[in-house]
Amino acid sequence: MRENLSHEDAYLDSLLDQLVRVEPTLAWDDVVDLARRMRRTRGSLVGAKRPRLLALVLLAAIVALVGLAFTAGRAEHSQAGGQHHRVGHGPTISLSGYHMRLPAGYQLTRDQACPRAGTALGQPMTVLQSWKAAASASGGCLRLEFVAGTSVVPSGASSVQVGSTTGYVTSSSASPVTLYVVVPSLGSDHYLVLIATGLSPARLIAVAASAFPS
Amino acid sequence: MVDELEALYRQRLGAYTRAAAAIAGDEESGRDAVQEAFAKAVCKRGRFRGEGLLEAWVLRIVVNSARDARRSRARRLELPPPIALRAEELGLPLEILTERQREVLFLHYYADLDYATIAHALAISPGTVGAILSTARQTLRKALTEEVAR
Repeated sequence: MRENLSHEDAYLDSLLDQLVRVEPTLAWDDVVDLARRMRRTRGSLVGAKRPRLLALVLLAAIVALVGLAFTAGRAEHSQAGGQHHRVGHGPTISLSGYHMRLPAGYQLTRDQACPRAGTALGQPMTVLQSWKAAASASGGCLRLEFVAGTSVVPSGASSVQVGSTTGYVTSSSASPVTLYVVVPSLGSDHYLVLIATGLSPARLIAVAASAFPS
Repeated sequence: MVDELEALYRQRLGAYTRAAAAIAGDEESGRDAVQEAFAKAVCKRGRFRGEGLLEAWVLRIVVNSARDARRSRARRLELPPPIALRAEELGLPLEILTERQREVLFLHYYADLDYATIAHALAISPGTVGAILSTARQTLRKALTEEVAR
């Protein structure tokens, strides 16, 4: 009996071993950089013991900055017709007035190596605006296109919620992962298409959802 | 304190990432959860009072970040997490375990942590960790044996 249990334990461990295959690639500098941005974003001065007067002055400055940012954000929004919701930690990729926050480590690029919607899928579509792309040092790549067509979305794609709008994502095992986001103001034939390598479907949806807050 | 966090990060990154990925449901979210957790630990280091192990304090933040990632994913995406799909392919019936059982199993197996550290991270007693782990493994062993017998 004990021998059997031992064998079963070893089998269970071997399954657990195969279950999660992940190579940690993050550098400590990225963590410190993210911590700095968290502090700035949240205006957090945790642990800092400053005089009350200085704290009040800082608070007033933060309130003024937030007010300015809010006003500027509203003006930009009304001009562009898009929306902005920061969920990532990287730069913003913008197309057709929609602004998406990228994950940390991504930089905007004009590199044409990122897969294209047209060539990747072979679907008939009209590209409405020049593409934008971003890449990470670890080989991740994201391309954003604005397309129109009646049969843009492949039949195998799954319907998902992308913030306040709808999207269709290709299988999680497919590479690259492609997400078709319906542009709410233009109807179901117009899509923002995100094609990514090195990002999970969930992360890709989070990036897209930052432009369509619920 | 930041130096100690950096040392912990360098020493335990692989183990934490695997455990966080298992809890979050996919590898990318696991990586992000660990990065975010350590960044939070750097920001909030003033709150660590030294009453327990630094590792246990950080681990609690890692677990919370991984849970948030899993819930966030579930809200946005109808597809099952990639790791759940892989478990299904492997014939590992993780779905028969409770969420708490899975977390204890993942932290013990992937992060290779002792009961006391897991207990602190999950805010339960070390004895409870042992009992949960034993039940979880027994449940999976039984299910695997029945599957083989069929």
